Amino acid sequence: MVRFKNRWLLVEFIPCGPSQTSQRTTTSKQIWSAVRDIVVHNFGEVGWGAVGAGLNVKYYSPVTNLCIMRVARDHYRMAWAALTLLTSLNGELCIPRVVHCSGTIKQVQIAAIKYDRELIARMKEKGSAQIPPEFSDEKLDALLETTVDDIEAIQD
Amino acid sequence: MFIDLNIPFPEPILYESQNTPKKQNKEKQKKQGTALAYVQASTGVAGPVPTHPLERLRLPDRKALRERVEMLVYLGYTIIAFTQTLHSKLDPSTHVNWFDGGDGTMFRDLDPRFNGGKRGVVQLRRLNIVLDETSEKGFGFTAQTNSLLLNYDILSLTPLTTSTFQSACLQHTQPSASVVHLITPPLTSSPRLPFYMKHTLVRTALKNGARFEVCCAGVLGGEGTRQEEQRNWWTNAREVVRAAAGGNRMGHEGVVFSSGAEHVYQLRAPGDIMNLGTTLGLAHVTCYAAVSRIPKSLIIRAETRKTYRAILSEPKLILPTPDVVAPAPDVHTGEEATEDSGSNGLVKDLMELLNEEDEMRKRKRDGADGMGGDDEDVGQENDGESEPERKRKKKRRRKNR
Repeated sequence: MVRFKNRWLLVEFIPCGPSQTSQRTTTSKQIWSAVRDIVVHNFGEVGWGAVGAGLNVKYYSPVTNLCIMRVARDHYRMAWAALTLLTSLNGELCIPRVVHCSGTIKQVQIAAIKYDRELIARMKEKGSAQIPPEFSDEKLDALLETTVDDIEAIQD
Repeated sequence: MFIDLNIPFPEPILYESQNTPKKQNKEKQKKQGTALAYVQASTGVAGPVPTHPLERLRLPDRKALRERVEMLVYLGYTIIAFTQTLHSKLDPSTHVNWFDGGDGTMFRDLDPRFNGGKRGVVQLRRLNIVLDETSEKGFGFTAQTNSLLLNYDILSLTPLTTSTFQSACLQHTQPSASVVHLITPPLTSSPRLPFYMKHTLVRTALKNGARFEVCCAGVLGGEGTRQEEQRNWWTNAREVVRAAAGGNRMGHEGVVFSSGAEHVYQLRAPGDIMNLGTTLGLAHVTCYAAVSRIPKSLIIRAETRKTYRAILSEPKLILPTPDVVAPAPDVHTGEEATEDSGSNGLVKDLMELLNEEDEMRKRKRDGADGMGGDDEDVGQENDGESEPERKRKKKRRRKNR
C-alpha cells in the first residue's frame, strides 16, 4: 500500500476590480464551489470526479487574498488549469496566480509566510505614499502576526 | 525572464493634421488622392498632434493601459510587446504609427532601459496585419514601406485564408527588411482553423525562424465572448500545437505563448500560462521555453531586420604580428554604419539587457539551492554546466533521496 499523495497550491487572487479590500466577504467555501463550477464547466463531470475528491481549501485570507489548497497529486495540473481559467470570484474580477506548489504542507506554509511578509511590506510601502486610515503601520504589523499564526495553525 | 509578445494597444484618437503633409504633396500630383484623404481626415479631431503616443490615447484607455502594464510587472514579466493591428493591408499613404514619438517605449518610468535599471518591463512595438481575401494580391510589405516597418520591433501576420497562410509561411519568412517572425492563427473565430496547417508549410516557416503564437486571452473570455469561442480556442490551439510543436520532432519548439489581453483580468502569470500549455499536450520544459527562451531568441532575430543582411556583430580580423596594428575592415563598416546608425544603439541596449538577465539567473542558480519544482527544470535545461557543478548537483540529489 502506498501513501496517498497530495499537492499543495499557494494561490493569490489578485483583485482587479474597483472594490475596497475591507468590503470583501469571500470565504474558503465559496472558493471551493467556484473551483468546482469551473472544473465542471471546462473538464466536465469526469474531470470533477478526478479532482473533486482531493480538493480542499485549507486557508483563505480576504485581506491578503492568499489561499492554500490541497489537491490529489495525480490531477493537480487539471485543478491548476481550472484555477487559471477562473476570472471572477464572488462576483468580482480577479487574477488567480499560483505562487507556489509543493508536496508537503510544511513547505507550503514556509512559502506562504514568506510571501505574506512580502505582500504586507508592499502594502506598507504603498501606505506611506497615500496613508489611508485602514493601512496604518501598527495595524499592518498586527495583520502580519495574525496571518502568520493562522498559516502556522493549518493542520494536514 | 518571461516574455509576453502580445499586448493589444488601444486605438488612439485620429488627428486631422496627421495626414496633412502627405495630403499637400498629393494635391499637386492628383486630385483623387486628396478627396480620399479628405474623407479620412474629416473623421479625425482637429488640433495639433501630441508628440507622445500616450497623449494621443483617450483618457480611460491610457489609465487602463497603465494598469495593465503595472499588473504585468507585478506578475513577473520582463519584456512585453504592444501590438498595433491593421486589417487587410498596410497603406503607406494613410498609415499612422501608433507608437511614433515614444523613443521605442511607452512608459519610460516602467522601462528598465530608460529608468536607470529599476524594476519594470521592456516595452517593444509590434505590428500585426490581419490578412483576408483582399490582401491575397499583396498587403504592402514592399521596398517602399520598409522605412515604415523599421519603426516596429516585431512584425506578425494573422492569415485568414489558405493562400495568405501559404504566402505568410513561404514568402514572408525569408530574410529581408520586412521579414515576419510571428504567425498568429485566429483561434476563437471558427470551430476549425480557416486553413489546414500543412506540414511542409509549417516546417518551412519554422526553418526560416518564424514561430506560431497561441494567445491565451481567447480561452479566458471577457464581457462579449460566447461559449463557443472558448470551445473553439481549445480545438484550434491543440491543432496549432500539434502542427508546430507536437510529436517527437527535433526541437519541437515552434509555439510561443502570449496573452493578447485587452483587459487586466485576462492577464495571467507566466507559471499559470505554462501550466495551461501542459493541458494542451506540451511537455513542461517546452512550455517554459515558450514563454521565455523562444520569444527571447525571436526578439533577437527580429532585431536583425534592421541590420545589413541579418548580421548582428561584425568579426574583426586581428593579424598575429605584434608591431603592426590591424586596420579595421573599412569597406564593410562604412556601409553598415550609414545603414543602421539609428538602430544600432537600441540593438545593443536590448542585447545587453538580455545577457544581464541570463547572468543574473546563472548566479542565482549557483548561489542558492533549488527553490522548487520550476527551478529544477531550468537546471536540467542547461547542458553547458561545468564538471564540478554537475557533481555537486548529483550529490545534492543523492542527499535528497
